[in-house]
Amino acid sequence: MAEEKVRKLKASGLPRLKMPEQNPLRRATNFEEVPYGVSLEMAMDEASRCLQCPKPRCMAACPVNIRIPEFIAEISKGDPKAAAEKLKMQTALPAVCGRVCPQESQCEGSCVLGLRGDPVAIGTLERFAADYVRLNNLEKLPDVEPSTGKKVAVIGCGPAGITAAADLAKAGHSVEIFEALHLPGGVLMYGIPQFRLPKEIVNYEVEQLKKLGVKIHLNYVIGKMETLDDLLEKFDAVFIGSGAGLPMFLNIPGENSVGVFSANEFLTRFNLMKAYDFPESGTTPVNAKNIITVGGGNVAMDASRTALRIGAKSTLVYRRAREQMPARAEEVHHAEQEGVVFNLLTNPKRVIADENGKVIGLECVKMELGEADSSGRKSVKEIPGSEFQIPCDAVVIAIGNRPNPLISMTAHGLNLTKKGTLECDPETLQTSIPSVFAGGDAVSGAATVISAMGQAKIAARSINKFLKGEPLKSENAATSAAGK
Amino acid sequence: MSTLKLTIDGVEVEVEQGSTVLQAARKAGIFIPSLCAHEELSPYGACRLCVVQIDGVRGTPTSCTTPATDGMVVHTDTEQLQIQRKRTLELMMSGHPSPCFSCDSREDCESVKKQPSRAGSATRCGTCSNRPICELRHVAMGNFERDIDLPLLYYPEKVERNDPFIDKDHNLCVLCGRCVRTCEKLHTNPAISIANRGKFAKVSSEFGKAWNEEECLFCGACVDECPTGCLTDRWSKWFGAPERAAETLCSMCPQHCKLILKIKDGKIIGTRAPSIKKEDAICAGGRFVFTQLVNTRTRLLRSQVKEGREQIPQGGEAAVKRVSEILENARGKILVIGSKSAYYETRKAMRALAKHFGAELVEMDYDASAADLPPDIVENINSGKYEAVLSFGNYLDEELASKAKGLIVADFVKTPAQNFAEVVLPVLIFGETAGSLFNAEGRKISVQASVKTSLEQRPMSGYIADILKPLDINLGEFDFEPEKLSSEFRSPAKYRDALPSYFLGHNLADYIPDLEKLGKKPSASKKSWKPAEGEGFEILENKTLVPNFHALKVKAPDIARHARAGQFAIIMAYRNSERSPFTLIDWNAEEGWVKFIIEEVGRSSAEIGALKAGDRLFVVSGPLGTPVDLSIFKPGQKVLLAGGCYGIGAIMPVARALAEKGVETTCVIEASSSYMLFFKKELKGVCKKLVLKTRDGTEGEKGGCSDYIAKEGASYDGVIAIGCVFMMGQCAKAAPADESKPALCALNPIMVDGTGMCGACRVSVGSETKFACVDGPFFDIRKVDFAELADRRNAYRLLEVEAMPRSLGCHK
Repeated sequence: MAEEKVRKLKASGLPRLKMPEQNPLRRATNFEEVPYGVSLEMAMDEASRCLQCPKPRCMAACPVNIRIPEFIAEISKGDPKAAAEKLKMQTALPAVCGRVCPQESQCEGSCVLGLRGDPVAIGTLERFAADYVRLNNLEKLPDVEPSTGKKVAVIGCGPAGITAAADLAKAGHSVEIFEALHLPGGVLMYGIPQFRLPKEIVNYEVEQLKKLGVKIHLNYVIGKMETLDDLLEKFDAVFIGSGAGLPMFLNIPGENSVGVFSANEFLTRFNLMKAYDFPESGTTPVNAKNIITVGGGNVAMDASRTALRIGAKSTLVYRRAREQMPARAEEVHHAEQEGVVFNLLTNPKRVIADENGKVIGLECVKMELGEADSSGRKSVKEIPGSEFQIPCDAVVIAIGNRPNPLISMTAHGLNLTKKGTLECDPETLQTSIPSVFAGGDAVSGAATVISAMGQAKIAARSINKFLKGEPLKSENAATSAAGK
Repeated sequence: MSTLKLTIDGVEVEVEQGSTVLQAARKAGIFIPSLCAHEELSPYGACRLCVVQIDGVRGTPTSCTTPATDGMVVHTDTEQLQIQRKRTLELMMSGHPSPCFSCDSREDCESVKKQPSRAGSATRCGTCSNRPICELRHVAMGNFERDIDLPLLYYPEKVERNDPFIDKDHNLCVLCGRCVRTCEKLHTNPAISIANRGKFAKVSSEFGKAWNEEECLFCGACVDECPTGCLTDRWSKWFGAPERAAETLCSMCPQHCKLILKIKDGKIIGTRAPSIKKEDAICAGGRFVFTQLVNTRTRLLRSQVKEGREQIPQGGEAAVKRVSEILENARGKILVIGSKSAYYETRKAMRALAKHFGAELVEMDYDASAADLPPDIVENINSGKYEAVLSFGNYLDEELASKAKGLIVADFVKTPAQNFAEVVLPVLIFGETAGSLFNAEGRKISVQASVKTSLEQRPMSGYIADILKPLDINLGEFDFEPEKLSSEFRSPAKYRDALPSYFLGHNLADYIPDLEKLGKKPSASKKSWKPAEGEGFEILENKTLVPNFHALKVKAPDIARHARAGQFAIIMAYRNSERSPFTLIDWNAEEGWVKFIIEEVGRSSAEIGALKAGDRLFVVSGPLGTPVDLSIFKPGQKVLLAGGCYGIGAIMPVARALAEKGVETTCVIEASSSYMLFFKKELKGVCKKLVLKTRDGTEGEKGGCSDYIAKEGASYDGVIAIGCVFMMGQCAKAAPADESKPALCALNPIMVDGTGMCGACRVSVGSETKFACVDGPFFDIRKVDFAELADRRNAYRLLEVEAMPRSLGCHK
């Protein structure tokens, strides 16, 4: 205890923990993870900075309501195993969340310490605890309730599907996941690059899920093989976590030229299909030396940083200013540090191709910021006559995704919103079919891993109640109140 | 030597005594077509294309075998000769897969398919790697009409790939004997000869064994002299014709043979001996290993300097600065490891470097590996005697590298040992950099750099020069007497067992898998990409229908249960394969199988095609795509289905579904030649009428499906065409303009996921962009932008070439 006090005392004067990272010059040439991780010593020091607020604002800001002060307390006591167990109560994927959550706008953004200085590095601590138990083989499987005899189908093995499946399996239901691709993980596998989220972590979390008794059917495209209607005959409830996998394009002239990619294709080639290992891997890489990425979100950062790593000059074109970029602050910072050239307030007008239909440039126009719209985001408009051309040999379009209609197209009675997302009760995430629930990007449109997981937790809770024959709403309101 | 004069086509020519009529004509600039004749080879008279008429001489002698005599009057282009040459070519062509010659659409087709497609065996020019450089094609184009009067004697023999480096497609052989004569000329014990007689004659080693079981040295001269695509260099054949040539010296062994580099797009795509004179003979190393080594994908591109625990790419200048610092601080306690294979200038500079810094210099032999490092040196490194170790090549294994202090590695490929280095310098190797070497006679020969290289790669000598520059050292003092070629030296150009195993300390078999077939062992066994036990989809049957086309029956009950006409599935043969789409042509839900047509056009399809019953595919995912909309046709209506290549199979399920609905179908199918038509019986079973079309007219009517559509299309209630982009483009032009009648095609662009996630498959249909995988594959054929589709399908062409040989090399 004395030791802890000393630490606490020391901690009061400590700056926020900065995780050691690969040198930007070095990491821009490899696919290895950017941060190196921290030692137990470093983590304990950082954990000691936590004030252990009685009414933790961080926890309320977490989409899955992780008991942040509690897990941090375990770390400061030097018990990462206990910390990981606390984490696993709320999140199936702590090692993933610690890496890809936008902490600055969630937990860390609400940390009291942040009011007068730097918030506790909650993301780093989460990552540390999860990595610690994984690397030291200390993980204990969570308790599984006795079998309920109920069967639940989960469509999609991405962050939403994995979270829902884990929660449902823990509640004693028999869960089967249907995944369209040949590897589980969804966007964690095909979208987020290795240097931000090592695939070994995804594989490990999927293995943990299987240990809970969850069965995963790969190469299984719901809507083309079994339809939702078929599943409803065999399962007591269905969770749809099929994500947003239909890429949007700019609809500008020349966009079908050779060398124009959706971010999904560009990233899938390198992440899921490991094209950087070509020709050992059969999938061809993008053989370009000068790549322009269009967009300002996390996916655009992933794509532009991947472009650097395959040895290309990487330029980002975004039509608003830096302040409006939806990407995580750290990603923008990393991209710039590694050498991605930012062309802000710039909008593409036309893709220029040579006589063989191959991209040779992108014509853009300069933009200026206008008044803020109803959502508070500033509008932009073109500056007439400011057109200019940027030479390039590939263009990656990273301006967002819509939900894939394969499932809804073949399902009867499943209502969609105007945006093509699934129509759900916002509180229970029940769709227009009573036994079908949904969560993640299929409901919200392209958003973050953690918000998908948050929704999946809510949907899993609703499914639990649905299967028990309990009313979905009244109690839900009660629990969410208790959470606050 | 005395000369003589003769007249050829009215031109008087003066030639040396002993010249042939062909040589005289060439000297006079008169073209006589020929194939078997070769400047360096003795006259043979096999191809009989170079026939001439000579006043006072009966018949039509071959000019390559007829000595020129004084006063001779020769005619090379009479009507009789033209007819005779045409007949000769026709005879040659009847045994050579030649439908492209007689195809009326050849020019159009080749303008869309600018390079031949990378098929397993060459069934026509369009699938032959040698199309751009084929001498037979070149000669025939100038002397040949499109009509063929003789039946085809094509007998589809499998391409032989059992030997290292060389593919043998005997169907293309015209028995000119150049390979055999070249082999005889170069080697005391020729490895090959023409075996059998008549129709069964073929170039073969004794008893038809694999060449590597025979005397063959794999010098590749036969490949370079083959006028057709019969003998090809498996690794480089799909790169096409080189743009330029350059001369260099090989430095893999002390022989330092002269090599001619073939260069395209700034890349070395092959080598060959300067001539087929015995003294110019090269070995498998120079002919095949050289190119593959230069092009290995693990080349070091950036210099790295260690800071803390990390190596950081900081540019060559910073790297050299750091090396200088390390050497300065370690003065007198330095080890420099070089190689005798380095250029003379490099070795000289190393001596200067060693002298200046008081370093110990060890020069490793050409064929040395890390294991050959002298034991006392190893001991000294282990005991920490040296404060700096500078290794020009891979001479420290991982363990030793981890012990070395101040390690600096200059190398051309990445190795794990480099992770322990303070500085890593990327170097250029043979062919890429200028320098001098000594030939077998001890004469110094300078070579030029022949290709442009990555920014940070430099010659070894360049780095040393930069280190020495500020020190003001006179390199002239370090001239030395290079080693003489020892009398015991056995040249790998003469002895196969003398072929080097290492270069700059690297095990060559690690980079060139084919060397295993020549008894070289790679350092580690290769990773297996096969599906694990219980994983994947079992192949029930793989039947070769016609060359390059396989009917693949796979156990996939979930797919069989849901498949509908017009859908496809994504297949991955192995864990590391691409996801490629293939049309479902048949299925049985009860028995739980599905069937595909696999057309070999590249790596992925070749991988699948090479699997056998009982093997497993890693992924079969489907059914995908929107089934063909049968509701647009009513019972009793007449629909025309057109299929070419894989489309012959792809129209099957559509025909079947329409038949079940009571729609009357006519199937018109096309192939380059009769030997490429398949499924005639199967289609007859499901359609009302079957029309056959071949491009060379050897079966059915001459022409393609589009001819039939143009003629009869309007009398049908709808048309559906499936085939290659060129065929569908032709059909689009021929399709009835009446838009009230459906005219569809099924597209097969490049896909990655096949579920609408990536958009790789987008196509322009009318004014809209569609995803072929989810919106298609069926679209209005009149609205598809086929030119764009062709460009998009070709997006990865050059890269795919590099993936080809690996996959093929590992198949038997």
